[in-house]
Amino acid sequence: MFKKVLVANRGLVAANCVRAIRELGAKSAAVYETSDLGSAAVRAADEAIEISSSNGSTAYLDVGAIVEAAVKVGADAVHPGHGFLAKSQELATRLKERGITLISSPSFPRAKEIAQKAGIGILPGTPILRGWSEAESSAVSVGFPQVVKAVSGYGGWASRVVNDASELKPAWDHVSKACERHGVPAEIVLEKYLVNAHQVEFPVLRDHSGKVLVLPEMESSVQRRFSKHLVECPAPSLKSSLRGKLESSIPALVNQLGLVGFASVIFQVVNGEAYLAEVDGSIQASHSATGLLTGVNIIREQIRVASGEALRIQAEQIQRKGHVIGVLLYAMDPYRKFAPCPGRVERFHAPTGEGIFLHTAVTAGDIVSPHYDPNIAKLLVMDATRDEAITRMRLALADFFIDGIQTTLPLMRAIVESADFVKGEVTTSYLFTEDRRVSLLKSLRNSEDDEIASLVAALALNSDANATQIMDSAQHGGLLWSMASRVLNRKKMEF
Amino acid sequence: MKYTVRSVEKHEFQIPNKTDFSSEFSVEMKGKTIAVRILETNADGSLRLVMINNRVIPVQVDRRTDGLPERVYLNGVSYPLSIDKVESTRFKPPASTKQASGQVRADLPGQVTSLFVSVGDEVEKGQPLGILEAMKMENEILAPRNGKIKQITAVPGKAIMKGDLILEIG
Repeated sequence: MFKKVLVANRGLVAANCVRAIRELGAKSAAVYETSDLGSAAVRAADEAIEISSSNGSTAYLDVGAIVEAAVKVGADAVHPGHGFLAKSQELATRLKERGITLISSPSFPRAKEIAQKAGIGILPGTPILRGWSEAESSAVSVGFPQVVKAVSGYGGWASRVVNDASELKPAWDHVSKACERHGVPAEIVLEKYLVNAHQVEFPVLRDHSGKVLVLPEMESSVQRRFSKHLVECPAPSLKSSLRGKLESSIPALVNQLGLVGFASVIFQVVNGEAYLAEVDGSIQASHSATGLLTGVNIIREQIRVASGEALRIQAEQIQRKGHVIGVLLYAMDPYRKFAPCPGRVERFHAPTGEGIFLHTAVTAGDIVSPHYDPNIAKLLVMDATRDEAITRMRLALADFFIDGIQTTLPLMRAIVESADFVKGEVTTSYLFTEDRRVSLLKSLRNSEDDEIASLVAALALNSDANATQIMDSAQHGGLLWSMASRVLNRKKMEF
Repeated sequence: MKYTVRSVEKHEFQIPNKTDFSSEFSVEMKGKTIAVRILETNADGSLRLVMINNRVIPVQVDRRTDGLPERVYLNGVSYPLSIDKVESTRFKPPASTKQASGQVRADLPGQVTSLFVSVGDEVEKGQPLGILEAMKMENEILAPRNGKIKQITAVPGKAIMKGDLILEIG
């Protein structure tokens, strides 16, 4: 086992990594920027080291600052969580020069080539492109619609869907500029965009001796701009014959890739045909769903294997009973086209109880910063069957109350209650249109609550009138309309 | 006092004339009585938690610049509405709605990554004017009202603080 592991991330994932390291008996060190001094990861770690960026971007993305911090605390490994650093070849190389292990596999550029030779369908795409002219000449062979995406990026800013050749150049410029702004290398690829695809991922662990453990698959079709919002384990859309075929193709694939540690083998499925989209060598927030179903702490096993230990879990030990649904919650306002909602969390009443699990790095009184990722929590439920898990999630979401900032909670409620979701028909294209967003949000309204909302508006106005009257009788013994207007001109609620 | 509120349908509520609303009271609505308790308010006096007909509901009331409620959230679910009429002996609601300000300011710190309009362009309310990037996300900047672009102060690609003027519609 490693002696000391530096966690090079923030928020929820950093806190989970710190805990896993400590559970393994190793020392943990957390990095932080000043505003995160009181954060969950910093509190949980054995020690914390402040980092600052040299290039004006956030230090959490600064490879130099992370390497320096790792050397300074005397770490023999760095856990980057997920995101940019987990995919940074530069970080892996620079740490290796100093004898430090990066607990993540930045990329598997040969994954599709190897898969194709093994007869696995692949999502057509290009290798990293050297510039615009290469993109222009490769676009036709990839086919439209396609995605222009930065390999080291994640989330919406790093990807653009292109419907025809005329949209290619603006998308290319957009993604290149975004990379520059975020201080990440402009490593851009083109990839076929499959419409109405289900996304299915198989988490897999492999140790130094070549022993492989493929965990039950998870479906992550509920996405918006390539960010996952809801995951399920096992995948409701996957037919058992295809499941068996995909599962059995994975050991040979990861053996040939030389994986040591953890990876997620990601397929997109359309009309019963599966296409390999990516082999992602980093953990994801959504893997907690698999962890909950199987009883395997994926981060912990990933660290064990990376430190050179043999894989101890046998395939037969993996629990596969029941169904898990996980919702990733973001500080974004679905009523305002997903505008980010940083701010102070006034109240945070999370559902608890049988079969309900919450991972969060915020609580009442915390500030959700405008400078970082808006993922604030994940809520997981487990039950014996999918139908029961849906009911449990539906009620848990309805009981979840966060005040002070708006979150994606209402939209997630609407999705979980929709007939499309219950039938397992939600695909990666589901949240693509404005119409869908609006109709989902409207579906939450009902006439009884319409009446209650109107009453609340009347009560709010009445309390203004009341405040005026109390002030009047106390101070002037008469009615002063000007007071009313002053109360009424209270600053509009800010988001 | 009698309040008429229009949401999907029109509702009329008769709220008792009193000053102490700390315990349960009854609101009359056409043909029925609704039991109401105000459980919690925010520091500024706005409503936070109410009990209506034995249901506990977290609420948030968004107001227009003139102070009249325009949107109520019931446990995060949004209900747009408008106040039609207030009949009161002791309270006069604001007379008219002011036109929305033409000043478009950053509601988040970030940077304006692109602008779709130039000075002199005619814009319509709700039209996307540009993109403000914050929290690694792109947010459309929408026109608050109809008019002509009077000035543009934001520089694309440069950092902008919350509250900074992006542009002004004249």
